[in-house]
Amino acid sequence: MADDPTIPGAPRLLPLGDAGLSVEFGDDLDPALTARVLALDAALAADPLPGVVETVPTYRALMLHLDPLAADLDVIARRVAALAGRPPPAVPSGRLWRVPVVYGGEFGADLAGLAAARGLTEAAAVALHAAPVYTVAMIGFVPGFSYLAGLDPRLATPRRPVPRPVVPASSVAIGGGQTSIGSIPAPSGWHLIGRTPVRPFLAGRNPPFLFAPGDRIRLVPLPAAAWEALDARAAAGDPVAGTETAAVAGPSGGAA
Amino acid sequence: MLKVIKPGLETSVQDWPGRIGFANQGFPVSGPFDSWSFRLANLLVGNPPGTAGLEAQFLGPTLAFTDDRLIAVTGADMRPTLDGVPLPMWESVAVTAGQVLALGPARSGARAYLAVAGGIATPPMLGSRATFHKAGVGGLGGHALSEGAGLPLGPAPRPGAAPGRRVAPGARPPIGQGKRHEVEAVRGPNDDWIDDAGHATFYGTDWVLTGRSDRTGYRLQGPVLSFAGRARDKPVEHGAQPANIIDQGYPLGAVNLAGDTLIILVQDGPSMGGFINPWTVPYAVFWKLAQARPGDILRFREVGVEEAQALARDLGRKCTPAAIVT
Repeated sequence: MADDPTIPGAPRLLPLGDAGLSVEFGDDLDPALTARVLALDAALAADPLPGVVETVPTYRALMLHLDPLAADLDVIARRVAALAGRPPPAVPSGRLWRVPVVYGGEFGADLAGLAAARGLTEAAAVALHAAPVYTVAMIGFVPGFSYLAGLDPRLATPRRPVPRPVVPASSVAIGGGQTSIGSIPAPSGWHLIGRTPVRPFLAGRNPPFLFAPGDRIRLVPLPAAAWEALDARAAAGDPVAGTETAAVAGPSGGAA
Repeated sequence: MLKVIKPGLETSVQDWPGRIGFANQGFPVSGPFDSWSFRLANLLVGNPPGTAGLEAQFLGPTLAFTDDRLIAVTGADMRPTLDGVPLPMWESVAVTAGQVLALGPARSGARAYLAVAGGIATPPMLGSRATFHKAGVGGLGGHALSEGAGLPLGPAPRPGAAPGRRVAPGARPPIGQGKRHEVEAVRGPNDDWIDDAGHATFYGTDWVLTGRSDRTGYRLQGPVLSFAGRARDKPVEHGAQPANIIDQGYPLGAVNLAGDTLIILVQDGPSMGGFINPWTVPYAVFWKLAQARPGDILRFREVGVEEAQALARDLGRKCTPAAIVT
């Protein structure tokens, strides 16, 4: 289960008890690592291995949930090593979403403090946060919680020393060099800078999930006055997040 | 139908293995915490081992049957009675419409299981009937049982299994009144963040299971663990505290070091987060955790991956119809 020295950049395989394996590509928050993780995930989805029950892509590792009665770790290790050597696709395959966000005030209690700590005005911090096209690097912690890769380093801020026991659903937050769109209410030590009416997960909606790892996200600032109507539509099952065709980044999206 | 007269402390519908296929959307597997007892209950009544049944925690429910069914109660001893008469556990029993099954406080262990021939037929959600109340999914309306609720049952198998079927000696989990539990734990995935002294402390300590423990996580009280150099000398993205790491996937059974608190992540636990997981408890021994009570002592025994997988195979063999004798 050691590294294979014959393959440059070969991942580390870390066993997880009796029912899991982590395929770790590196130690950094690096979009190139995440791309390799997503490529391996796609390759395994296209040609499943016996005993691999499901897979969870993360920033720098692909986690495999295994059926210990059916999984052969040596077979999996050989196959993963072969697949991990393939280059990731040059063009992102995911959808591009437009996600409306109300920044600051009661919607983002930590925006003012975070901006001040970074030497920015609130407006400048919002502009920096809404500028990139983010990639959904991974979804987890709680259902639908979406970790976005691509935060401007000027906004990176260490987590709060004391986490909040619960933060509102669909909070948009910054923790270290990461940013996220929350889902259901959950504890958090990240800085709350805004909220979106979008529910990444909504029980009973079809589809219950909106985003997938590898999707891209454009955040669109939304005036607070628009919140109530959009939130009501979202609660009733409207996604209120528009998609754009992958190649065209025009304002063709829906709700925003 | 099963009518809920008293719901108990937190009684939920579960199926096994639980909710599979949505881990990449952040869903935990949920399902029965002591899957050994759960599967045996189903096998006793002639169901496939994963059929939806009930998990009762610490204080069991009181339920009325509206039709004739074969049932079995396994797991923690909650002194079950049928119309006030003690009901044998680990055995299939025929009940008739109108009878009332009552489970009390757990005398030993913590979680009891009820299987009903035909299974609980609440609507599946995301491929499973398992209850995950934090997301309002599964069970009855996404939550544990409530007073007055009615649980629909699936069609009883015909011909059904017979009453009086028992679990073979040695095939059921040894749930006792002991307060010490030896629990297997494998090193990894983040074992290289802990130094040798830290590992020796982990495997050499009587950890106390605290009352802040549930199907999400088991919080342990004990000494402070020492870190390897890489916990402090690391890229800034990993975070400020030694136990911080770039947010990563959490395996089922992760022994998670949340700051300086050890939490074993179990059935309904978070799927990702920014703390290290130096050890993992194999799924095959979750029954020991499920039947431990706050205040009990957990002592970890180091096992390798091969032994952990052997434990899984052994448990798989015990959860087959061969475990049932007539």
